[in-house]
Amino acid sequence: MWSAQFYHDGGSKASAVMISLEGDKLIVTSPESEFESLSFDKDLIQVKSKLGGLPREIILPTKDLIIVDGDRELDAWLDGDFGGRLNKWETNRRWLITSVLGVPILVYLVFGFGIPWFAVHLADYVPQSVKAISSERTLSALDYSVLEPSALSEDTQLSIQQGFREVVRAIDTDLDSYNVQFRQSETFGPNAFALPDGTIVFTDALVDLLEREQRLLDAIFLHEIGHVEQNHSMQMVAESIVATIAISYFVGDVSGAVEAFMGVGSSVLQNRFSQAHEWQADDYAIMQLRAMGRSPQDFADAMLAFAEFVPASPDVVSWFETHPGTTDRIENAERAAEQQ
Amino acid sequence: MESTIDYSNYSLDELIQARQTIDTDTYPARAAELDRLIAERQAIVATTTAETQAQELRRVGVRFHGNAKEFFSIWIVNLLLTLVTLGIYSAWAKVRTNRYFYGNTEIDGHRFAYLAEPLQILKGRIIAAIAFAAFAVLQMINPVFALILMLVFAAFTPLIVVLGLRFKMRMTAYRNVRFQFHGSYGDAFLVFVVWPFLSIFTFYLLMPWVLKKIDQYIIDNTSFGDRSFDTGIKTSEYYANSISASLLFVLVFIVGALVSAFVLAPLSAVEGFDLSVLGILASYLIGFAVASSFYQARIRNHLFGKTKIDSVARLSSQVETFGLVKLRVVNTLAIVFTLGLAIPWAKIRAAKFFADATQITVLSGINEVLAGDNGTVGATAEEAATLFDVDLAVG
Repeated sequence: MWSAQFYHDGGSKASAVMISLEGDKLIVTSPESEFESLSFDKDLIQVKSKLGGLPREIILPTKDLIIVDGDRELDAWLDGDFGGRLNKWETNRRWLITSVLGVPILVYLVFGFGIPWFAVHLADYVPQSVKAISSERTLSALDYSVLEPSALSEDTQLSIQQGFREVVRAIDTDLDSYNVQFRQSETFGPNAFALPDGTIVFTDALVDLLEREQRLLDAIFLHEIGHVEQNHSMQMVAESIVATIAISYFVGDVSGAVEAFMGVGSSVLQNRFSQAHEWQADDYAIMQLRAMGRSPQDFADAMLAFAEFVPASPDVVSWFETHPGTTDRIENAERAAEQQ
Repeated sequence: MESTIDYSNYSLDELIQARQTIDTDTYPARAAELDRLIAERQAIVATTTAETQAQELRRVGVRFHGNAKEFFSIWIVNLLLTLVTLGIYSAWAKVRTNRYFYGNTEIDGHRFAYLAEPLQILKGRIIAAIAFAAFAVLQMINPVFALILMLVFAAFTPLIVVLGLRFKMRMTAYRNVRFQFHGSYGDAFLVFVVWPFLSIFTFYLLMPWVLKKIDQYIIDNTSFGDRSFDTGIKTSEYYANSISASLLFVLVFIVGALVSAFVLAPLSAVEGFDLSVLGILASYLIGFAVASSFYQARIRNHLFGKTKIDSVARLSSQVETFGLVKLRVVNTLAIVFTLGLAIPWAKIRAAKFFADATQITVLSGINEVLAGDNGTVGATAEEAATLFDVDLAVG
């Protein structure tokens, strides 16, 4: 016998009752004789699965509800052999230890490998026409906000373009054309960036920093081509979309502060993804320089010019950086040059 | 043959007066009509006064029975299952989590219940994820698309809010009676889109009023079975608390900036690392935590204090600003330093904190609440709302 609360269907009326078990039947009796004893087949009642120390909820075929503090005997009757399985997992020490160890490992695998892998493959399905539209919009947005027309003379621009055309001829690419643009920008400083459709923008400051030396400009150009050939921008976008969905999906119901924290986590992941891209683009440039019979030292020299311009940053900060340390990149290129 | 008079526009007093002056022998039909109308009106008056004067039975607290140890185990096992099933199990995990929190919340000897089925949640999550992905992809392809989509989304937001609230309320039950939300889309469009948009042109001076309108819309359209929630919240409270919260933020920030400039900056000269930047960032965060907790605590107390459920209950809340600041700071730090493992502990603490700060005055109508009609509502809207970050929290 268990004392229980009986909630009548259709209203808030509640009565104290006693319940008992007779074989496969649940017997409900009213001590205050509000109603006659009721008897229900086990097959016809609906039981909410056991959860923590919550009282048990039993829904009768009449839609009345019984709430009762369960004990071992009642739980066994209500749950049958398999019913309480989830609760067993949730209260089992072995499952607890497995979860405490397994969750961090799985989170690391999913966010560190699963999502980037998925993003890389998803990005392959983006058609060239979409990349073209997206690049065009991005460039016009940048032109409107942070870019100014180049102050380089037409002759300088043409001669640099001419050098680049030789580079493009020398490499093996599926892309019809690489479109090089020059711009002035205070925000970007000495920089070059590639848009997904093969548009590559050099800032005047970069051209000046490399003292218009074609050999160095070519090395940087090859690095940017590496980003385009390996579809890095689209992979970044795909990664960011997939990661955002995954994070909202897994932790959508936690507080804002925690989400902000997860945001930091996801930007660390993104930056690592982006650092990996820089290395891939570097390696692409080095490989192509070799194939063209030039020296990877060209790339190292271009990076050296950078290093003089921007002083090296300490190691800890590298987690929050999109680019690997310049010193490491110079070493990488010089090692390649020595091997030649 | 006596002619009949239309008494239907008469008030009860006028009817009684008419009955006293009428000659029953001459006009029996009119007298009978008057007697009938008087009896009818008196019955209505009797029930309404009974409702407004429902007796206070007792004043009770809200008890929360959950404990962090038990919930941690549930949470982490569910998280493992969710990861292993690539997210599919999360719908089941959500139902179990909500059942745990609702079922462990007790008022006046009865517990709440969460009624949603995992498949409803799963469907909602899938639709929300697809919608978000479509939005992100279109935005990437063409920013103009995104702008159009933003407008479409603005039109959809109220719908998402309404459906989300409807689902949430229907899935919540107390004493086997479900809650309900019956706000209209039109009103939601006004309070969630039109008023906030207009407030931009008043340099957000209208914002406290908009926030009040939002709370009022949500509460006044909620009911427990056939009993309506009713609130008398005041615009002046929203203004007073918004202004106080802003001043509090400015005050904390100025003190922090002064400390940074005169204490931390000279110290940094010795250390060789600029502490004053950290100091200013910290004062911004502390200022925000204090001001938003102050606002949330005061508004919750006001909201609860002015809200009643017709002849069923009156609510009251005594959240203290300092207590809330402490709760949020400790929870956030614990979660960050345990890399998320403290999330269950933090959730239990928060539930206990808000339960302890809430009182209910139970009224005599509590046993006579009738369940309204029970339709089914999908979880999509609620899920889409979480994913798109539309805040639905009332308190």
